[in-house]
Amino acid sequence: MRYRIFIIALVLLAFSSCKKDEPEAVPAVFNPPGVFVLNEGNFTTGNASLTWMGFQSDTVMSDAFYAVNKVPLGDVANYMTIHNNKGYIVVNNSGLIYVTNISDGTFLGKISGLTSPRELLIISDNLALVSDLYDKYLTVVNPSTFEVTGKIDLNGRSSESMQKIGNRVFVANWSGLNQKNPNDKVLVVELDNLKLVDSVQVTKEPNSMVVDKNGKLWILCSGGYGNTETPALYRIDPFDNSIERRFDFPEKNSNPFSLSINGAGEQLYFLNKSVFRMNIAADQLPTQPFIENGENNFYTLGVRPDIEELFVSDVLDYVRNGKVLVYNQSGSFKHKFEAGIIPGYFCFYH
Amino acid sequence: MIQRVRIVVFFLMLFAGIIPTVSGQAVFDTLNLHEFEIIAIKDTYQNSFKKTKIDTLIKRDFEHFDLGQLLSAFSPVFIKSYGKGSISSASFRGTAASHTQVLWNDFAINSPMLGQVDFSYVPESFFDEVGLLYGGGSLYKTSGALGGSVLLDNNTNQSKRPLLHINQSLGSFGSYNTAVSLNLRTENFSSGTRAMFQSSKNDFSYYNNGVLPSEWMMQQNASFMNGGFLQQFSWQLTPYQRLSLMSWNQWNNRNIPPIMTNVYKGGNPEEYQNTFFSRNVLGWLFHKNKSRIEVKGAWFYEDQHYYLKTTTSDDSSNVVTLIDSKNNTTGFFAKSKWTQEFPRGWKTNVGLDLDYNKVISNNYEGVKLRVTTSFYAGLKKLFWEKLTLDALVRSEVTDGKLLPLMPLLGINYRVIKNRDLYVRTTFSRNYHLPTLNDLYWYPGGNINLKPEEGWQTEFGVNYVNSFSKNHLLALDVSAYFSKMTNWIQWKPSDYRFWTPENIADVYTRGVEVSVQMSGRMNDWYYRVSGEYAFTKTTDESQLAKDEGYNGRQLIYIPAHHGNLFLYMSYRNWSVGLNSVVTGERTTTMNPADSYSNSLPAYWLNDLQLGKKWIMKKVDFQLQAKINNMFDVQYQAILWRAMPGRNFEVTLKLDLK
Repeated sequence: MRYRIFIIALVLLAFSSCKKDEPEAVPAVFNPPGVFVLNEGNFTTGNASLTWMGFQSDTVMSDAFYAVNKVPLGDVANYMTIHNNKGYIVVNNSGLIYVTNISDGTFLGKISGLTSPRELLIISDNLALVSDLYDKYLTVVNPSTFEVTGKIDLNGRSSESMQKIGNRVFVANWSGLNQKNPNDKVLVVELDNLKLVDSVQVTKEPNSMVVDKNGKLWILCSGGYGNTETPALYRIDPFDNSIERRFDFPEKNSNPFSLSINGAGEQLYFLNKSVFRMNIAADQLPTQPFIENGENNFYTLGVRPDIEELFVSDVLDYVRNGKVLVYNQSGSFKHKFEAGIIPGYFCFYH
Repeated sequence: MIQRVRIVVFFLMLFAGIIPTVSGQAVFDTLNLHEFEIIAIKDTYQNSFKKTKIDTLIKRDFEHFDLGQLLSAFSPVFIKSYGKGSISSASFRGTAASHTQVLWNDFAINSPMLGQVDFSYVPESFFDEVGLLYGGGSLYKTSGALGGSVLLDNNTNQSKRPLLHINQSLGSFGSYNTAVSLNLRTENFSSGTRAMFQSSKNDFSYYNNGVLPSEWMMQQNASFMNGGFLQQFSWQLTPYQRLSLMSWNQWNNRNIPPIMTNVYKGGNPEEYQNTFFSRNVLGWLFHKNKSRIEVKGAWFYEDQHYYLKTTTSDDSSNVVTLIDSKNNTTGFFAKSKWTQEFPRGWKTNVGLDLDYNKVISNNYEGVKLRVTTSFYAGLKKLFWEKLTLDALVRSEVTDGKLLPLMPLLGINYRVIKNRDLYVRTTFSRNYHLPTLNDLYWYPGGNINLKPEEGWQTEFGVNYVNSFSKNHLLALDVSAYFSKMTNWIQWKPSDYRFWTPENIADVYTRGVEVSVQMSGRMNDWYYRVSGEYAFTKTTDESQLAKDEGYNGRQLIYIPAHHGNLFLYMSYRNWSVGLNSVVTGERTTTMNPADSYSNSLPAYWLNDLQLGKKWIMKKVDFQLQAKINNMFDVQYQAILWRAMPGRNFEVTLKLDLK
């Protein structure tokens, strides 16, 4: 009998080291200038993460959100913006927006109950809009109280990228999933009455938009699922919604995305496997890449506003940690650093 | 009289304890296998490959388990489970889920679409025997089992069963589990009916540290309800011929809970999966002296429906996402095999299998078929009562394409005369065909995929000893190595969808240790059994080397996995402790220190207490059980909530 108790005790002892202690929170300091890299993580896996890179010391802090809060960022982190010393991180498939103290990343609150949030456009201390991949509304939220205050009907269309020009917001209808109309419009919302007032017909799948120094709206369209239309870049006059320029891509099967602009509002950058650069005054699309993709699997692009450095993410095979490659203004490679799984968005803090 | 019944029960238990002694040895073609015959088999046959069987005592005590729970607790096979009632799949010797073939009365129940079996849909109570064939030994039954196979068998000889058996469990989180069997027989005819019904609200509370602020929450949308029956008829046509018919029908409904990070999602998500299947086998067996011929036909049908709906947050009639995926598979199968024993220890084994699978799915373009013909021939010879040689070759033609031959060669050697100490070694080659999803999924399916090829070898030692006739020790140690080339992985393509390719060259190697000890002292019976598996599975392809992730453990395969079962009974009282340790698992192919790259090891313990009342016409048994008794909060899969401590009460009734 005694030896049996001994065996049990031995086994208990052998396994007693299996339990791990709760991880301790690690304090962080995010001193500008720097960049927050949002790593999407894999859909339905919950392994999105936040990587911080401070430019002064070139220090990289990976998994910064988890380190500070001891909670994962969530499932598919999609977008981040900074307002009033608060960081707003949109976590798409978790249906929420985390609000953090921008200087140390600590949790301040969340905006939840969203269906499939994509981007957040903050208009004022009390008004912000959330676009949604599936919901056919923009959600109106209060960025100070983190409450949902209303909805703007988009007439059966989903929403993605948003740009505010004057008292109007331009909303790209990127995804056509579960939508009766073709996804080939940029919608115009009036801020005075928070209503959809107009739309601009473009090519299918407007995926990204920027505003140049002249206040013109640039829209990059990738042509729809299976490239049913030829991808195109548009320039719109935001006052009468007229199309001023239209550049069709030479290859119908190309997939241009991630349109960005430098701090001065003069140089456009976008990805089409490689990185391309185009001046806003150019008469045609660039024919030669600005930065060749080579072996890299480029996924998203960001332009550092103050000194026009280019941040380009390489997602490798989408399941391992991606890399961020940094290039200077003339396109020469400077350095690279490791981020998380699928680095998908750059939020510059300066 | 009661005394006599007690003795019978006691002996049943004792011999049940002996069953593990055949681990690693022949339980080959034993349709009439029951407790008393096993000892005889042990001496007559020695296999070169590893084969084990879940022992009868355990099978009876845990009959409300699903197959995943059973294998996790009592075998070295690692079960990857998303939670009770949710998807559960096997990783056998470090391989992928589709590399475990699950054979019900010799017919594979793996889905032709995914290639794998959902173990939570396999109620243990439906089968008389659950066996495991490790590595190359699977070639005796099927191809494609690069890891191994699980054998679920229904005996057609039912003389040992009670007339009526009822098992009713009630558990935490609104869980009900009913298993009933009714056995009727005349001299030449028998009928066995088994039915089960299980349902659970599964609304356990857990500490959600996947959202801010972290707090205790109730698991949402995780309820399930499964029900089904298995009917078998058996006719003894002549003393040497038997005809049998079996039909297994089951309805499964499960809701799919959100992961822990997604509990605040809006849009009233509704996600579920409903499945119905009907599996039917008609078999004819001729068994006379040293000849055995068996011919079987089967018809399988399965309907699967996956549904996901979200609506706008304020109007639940306004649908914004809808996935309504319907898959329907039909299979016709035929098997014939002939086993013949000859003088001087020769034994031959020849068989022919025909498989026809048809899939209609809104994820494929059009109806997809797969037709496979498989032929095998084996030879076995026992030399000097000591040395067994095994040779088998299997040849397969799929959709008109001939696969290279799949051979197996093995040796078993009895080291000391009259002592049960054996060493064995096997060498084999096996192929696993791409699944129909790999080939035809829209979009992404790749019809140019090659079959996965595996070279396998193993070495094992098996030792059995009885002490003073009342105590028995069985020990088995195996080491294996296998190299699998053209391992299929899905990777993103240039067109934003994922596509499978023959990318990886995967090496698996490992050690399995199994120890069992049982015995009796006066009115006491005890049993201690444990399994431990060390598994190392890595991708050694050129790509992995170039990218620097060769040598890293593939995801969700623990390097260490073990279980322990302690059982003791005194007269009609019994107590059992079940302990399962799952080592650290990686969740990505990132370096070890990356975020969320690994899930910590966890150790779960279940304790049960039982009391039996044996009467003239009826036996009762009451069992009380504490699951996860130390209330461990853990994740088997990243950010999937799991229940803490919970309780279960079971009442069993046997009408004799």
